[in-house]
Amino acid sequence: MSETGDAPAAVLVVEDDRAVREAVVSAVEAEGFAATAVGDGLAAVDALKAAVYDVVLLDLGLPFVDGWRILGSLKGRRAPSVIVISARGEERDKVRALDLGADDYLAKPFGAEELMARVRAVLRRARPPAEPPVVARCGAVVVDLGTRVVRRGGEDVHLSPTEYALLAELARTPGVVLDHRTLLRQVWGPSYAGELGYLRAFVHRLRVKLEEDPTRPEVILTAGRQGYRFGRTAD
Amino acid sequence: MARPQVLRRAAVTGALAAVGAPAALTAVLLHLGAGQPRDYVFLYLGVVAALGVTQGLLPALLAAAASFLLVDYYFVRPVRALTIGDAQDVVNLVVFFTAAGVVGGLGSRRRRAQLRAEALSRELRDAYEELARLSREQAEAAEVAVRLVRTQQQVRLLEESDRVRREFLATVSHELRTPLAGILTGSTVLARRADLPEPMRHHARSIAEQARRLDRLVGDMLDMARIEGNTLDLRLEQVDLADAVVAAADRLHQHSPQRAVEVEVPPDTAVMADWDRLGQVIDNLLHNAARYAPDGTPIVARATPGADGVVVLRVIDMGPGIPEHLRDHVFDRFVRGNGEADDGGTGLGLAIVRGLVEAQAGRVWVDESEGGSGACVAISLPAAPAEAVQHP
Repeated sequence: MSETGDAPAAVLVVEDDRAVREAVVSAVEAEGFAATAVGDGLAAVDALKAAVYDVVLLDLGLPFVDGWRILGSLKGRRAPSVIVISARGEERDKVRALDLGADDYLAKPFGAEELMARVRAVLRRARPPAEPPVVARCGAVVVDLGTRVVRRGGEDVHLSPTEYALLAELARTPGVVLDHRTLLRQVWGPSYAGELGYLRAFVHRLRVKLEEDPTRPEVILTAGRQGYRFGRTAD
Repeated sequence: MARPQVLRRAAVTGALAAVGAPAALTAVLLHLGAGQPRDYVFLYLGVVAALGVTQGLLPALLAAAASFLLVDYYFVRPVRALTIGDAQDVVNLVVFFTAAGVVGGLGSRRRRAQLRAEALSRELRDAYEELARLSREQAEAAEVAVRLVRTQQQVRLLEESDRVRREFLATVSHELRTPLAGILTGSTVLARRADLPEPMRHHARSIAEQARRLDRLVGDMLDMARIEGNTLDLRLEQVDLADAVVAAADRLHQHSPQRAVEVEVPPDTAVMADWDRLGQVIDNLLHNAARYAPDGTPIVARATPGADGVVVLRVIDMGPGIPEHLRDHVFDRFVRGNGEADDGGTGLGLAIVRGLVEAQAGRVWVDESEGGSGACVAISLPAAPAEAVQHP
């Protein structure tokens, strides 16, 4: 069901509240995407085994299998992108969901425009435009911006589209500090400029995957209050 | 006084008494000049026995020797010479000396026994006092332990109460927002459908707007409940105030694209605050200013260092200002300026500002506006240390 060629993006809607589920499916289909809807966690696990989706809209409080567990089971996979849709609007839930591998977190209630803007954004990050074959290196980490392949010590590192988009944004200008707002705008979009929590969660996720010791980063470095940079300052 | 000194003094006293007592008795007997020397022996024995009891064995033996010599010198023929003419006197003197030693030894033993008894008594008394002290301390320790257990129980109760309160608020949030999600998403889907007549889409937009408003009210009421129930989750850290104000201005821009915000925050102005809750505070202040300020006028967000290590952020608008009679109540719940009731606000915005700022060790007040018009709401927050922050 994954999008190939001109096929519409496949979206799995996992939501136990019927009214919300139907409204979300209508919003997704109105945008021209192919929607599949399930009402509980077990059905979601089956659906994810049976087909490949581009985006999962995942509620957290689900019957049978909790949304958190589904999120955990998808961690580390390149696809699908996961947008958590939850009535749990507390910041710690958002941070936890992002740490567990969600690409985005949308608190209920939300409008159709807002939801579809997020879906479009994760799809855009999953299919970035082609880039010149530039290779950025820092220690054992090699980022091939042309092929979008990331290796550490010669082995492929699997990054989610959003993780890769953030890494690529930094790797395009090695050693140069990019401030938080620039990174948030470039990677997530203009409306995310104040969402520092997203940036922190994804920097943490990248460090876990790329650094020898994530507590002493050498690839993605913190530059005071200003922002982050890829590798040491260029001489 | 040190023990060796005491012993030395006792030895000197004993020696003086051992020599002095027989000498004094001899002087008295010579002065009286009566009786037979054999009768005097018992008096000397008495002196030796008394010394044995009071001064110990050595003074008694010394007194016996002194008595022997004195008796021999003054009372045994030939008198005034340390020689003995009569063999019976020799026997008598030897018997006397032996008897004096025995009597002195017995007296001395009795004295040692008495001293040991006194020492034991003292030790017993000390031990009893120590026991009493230990008992008192044990009782105090038991009391402290009881208090500790009670405190632990109270802490557990408070933690449980806190957990229940948080869960309750989370459940309320979930139960209220889930139906709102159905209403808002459904109505916005309808509002986007081009195949529906415009009046229907207009109604759908109205439903969506009211759902958003209800969501703001739910959010604000839950925040007030968290503030008043002390269940806010705050992550205090060094926050660049310019970043926070610019991010809030960006959010206002999405809501009110025409409204300009002039950010006047010196570089490297950092405060200790929770990023998200500080953002909410600035959002509320900017939205409040935008609601009352005339179209086309900017909002100014100006930060200055304050006294006592704080940073003051003032949000200034060019609106009608806050009426004098509302200045003391503007941070109370459901107090609105200019009697407006249908302005999209919940009436909780500034009350939440006060609650969130105070929870972050800050203060909020209405300041005098520049030039006497418009409103100026100020918050102060603790300034962050100057060194560079290390974000995770």
